[in-house]
Amino acid sequence: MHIKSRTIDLIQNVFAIAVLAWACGGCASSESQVQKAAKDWCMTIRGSQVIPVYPLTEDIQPGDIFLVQVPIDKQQELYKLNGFLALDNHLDRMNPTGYDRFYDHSFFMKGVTNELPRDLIHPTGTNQPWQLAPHVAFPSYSFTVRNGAGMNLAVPVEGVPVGLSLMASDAASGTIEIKDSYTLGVDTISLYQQLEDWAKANADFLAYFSPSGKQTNYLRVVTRIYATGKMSVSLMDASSRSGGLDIGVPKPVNLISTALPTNTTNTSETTLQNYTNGWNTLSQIVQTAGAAKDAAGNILPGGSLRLTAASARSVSMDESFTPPIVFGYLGFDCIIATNGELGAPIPTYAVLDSSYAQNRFTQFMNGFRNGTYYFNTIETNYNADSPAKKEAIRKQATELGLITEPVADEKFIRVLRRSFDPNDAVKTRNFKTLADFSSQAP
Amino acid sequence: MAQYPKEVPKSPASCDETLKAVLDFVVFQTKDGDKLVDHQVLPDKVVLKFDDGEK
Repeated sequence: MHIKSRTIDLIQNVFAIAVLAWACGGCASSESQVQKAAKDWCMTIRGSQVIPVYPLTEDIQPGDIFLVQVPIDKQQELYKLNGFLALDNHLDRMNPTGYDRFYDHSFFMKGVTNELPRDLIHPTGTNQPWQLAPHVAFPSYSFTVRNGAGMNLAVPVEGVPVGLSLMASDAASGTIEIKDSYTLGVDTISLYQQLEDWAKANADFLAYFSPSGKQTNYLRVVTRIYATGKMSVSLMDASSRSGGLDIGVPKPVNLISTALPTNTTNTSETTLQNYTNGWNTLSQIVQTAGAAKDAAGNILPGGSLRLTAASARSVSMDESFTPPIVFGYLGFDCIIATNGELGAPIPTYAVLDSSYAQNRFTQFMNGFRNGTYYFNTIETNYNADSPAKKEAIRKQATELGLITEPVADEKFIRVLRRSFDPNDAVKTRNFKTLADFSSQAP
Repeated sequence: MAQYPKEVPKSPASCDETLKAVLDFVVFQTKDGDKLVDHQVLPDKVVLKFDDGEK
């Protein structure tokens, strides 16, 4: 009796643990699949030297400013791990003033006033968003997909799961093409100048994010975006079947490979009719799958699907995005220095590249070489100057933020040396300003 | 007396380059009497801690 009771307890415990493990495993699996979808998609976009936007959105444009509070080495790690960078701390949106100069010799008509980005994204007098924007083309990407076992390319478009469902297949290989792609951008120089003005106007806010201890913060500014209006998905059934036995409802794609009736003499006409009927049925299925509607019957934003080709073991679909959505961007990063000042712009792509370590070292060596030259100039001039000029140099050093408080004459060089930092491009620039000032006649 | 840190990025190409950069920087920074009192070698940089020697 006692043994029987212990056995029941044991079974109950094992069952409880199994249920718990299943529940937890299910959650983890679901989360990891979403993460994998994000990463797989982003890796394909990164292959084209574009930083992925995830999730795809309409609401990102050149001049957008983001705050980045993750160290570069950690960013590289996260970018490698997740495939994309979180654009979650959206500080502000500048309206780039450099568009006119950037585009007026190429994409603008003479004598026409343009308001960008609106006149390229939503041109007046036409129902074709983005049509006037510069076009871009991307290569097609191959992938394999397996139901229930994850995909080695999980894409945020409906075409893949719908196509897989149409073929009633558990495995497929295919390609995805990013079509109807457009780009819109502005030059870094004009945007950086605007950013400097923006930083001066918001210096109090940026001062909160000045370097503290080992923490350095950055501003990330978008200079170019890439949008797509259509993605084409082609799937080839890669599952292996035996005997052609269908259990339950036959797969829809069989509708276009139905057997010919035996009691007809006009084979070609019957074949054509069969194919047309099957095609129409499939198109309806695809459109129903792709057109989500709200309660009022309006098609919801997002992609709409259209069948472009089908056979017994393959299906091709176009997924349209109206209006086009942004899937990638380029930009630059600036260090937020002391007092909210900005460092030099560094392309975001370079920051995320592991070879950036080489760039950092090179930047340090350049800063050291130039900075020591400026420092030695200041020291030489200072030691030879009159008391009045020395005082003026000390005052100038305070105004440039190279020393934080007034210091005595004999301590000035020693205190100034402590603020020397070859990693800080802004500070090196200020040393140059002070060196020039010290070289001027009294 | 106060201590302050400085950082020298590591050269991914050569340890000799990193060593030379660290030594050149220490020579420059201690020229007026400040002292190198500590250091930390991290994966991507060397952190140097100096003491200003003031009382």
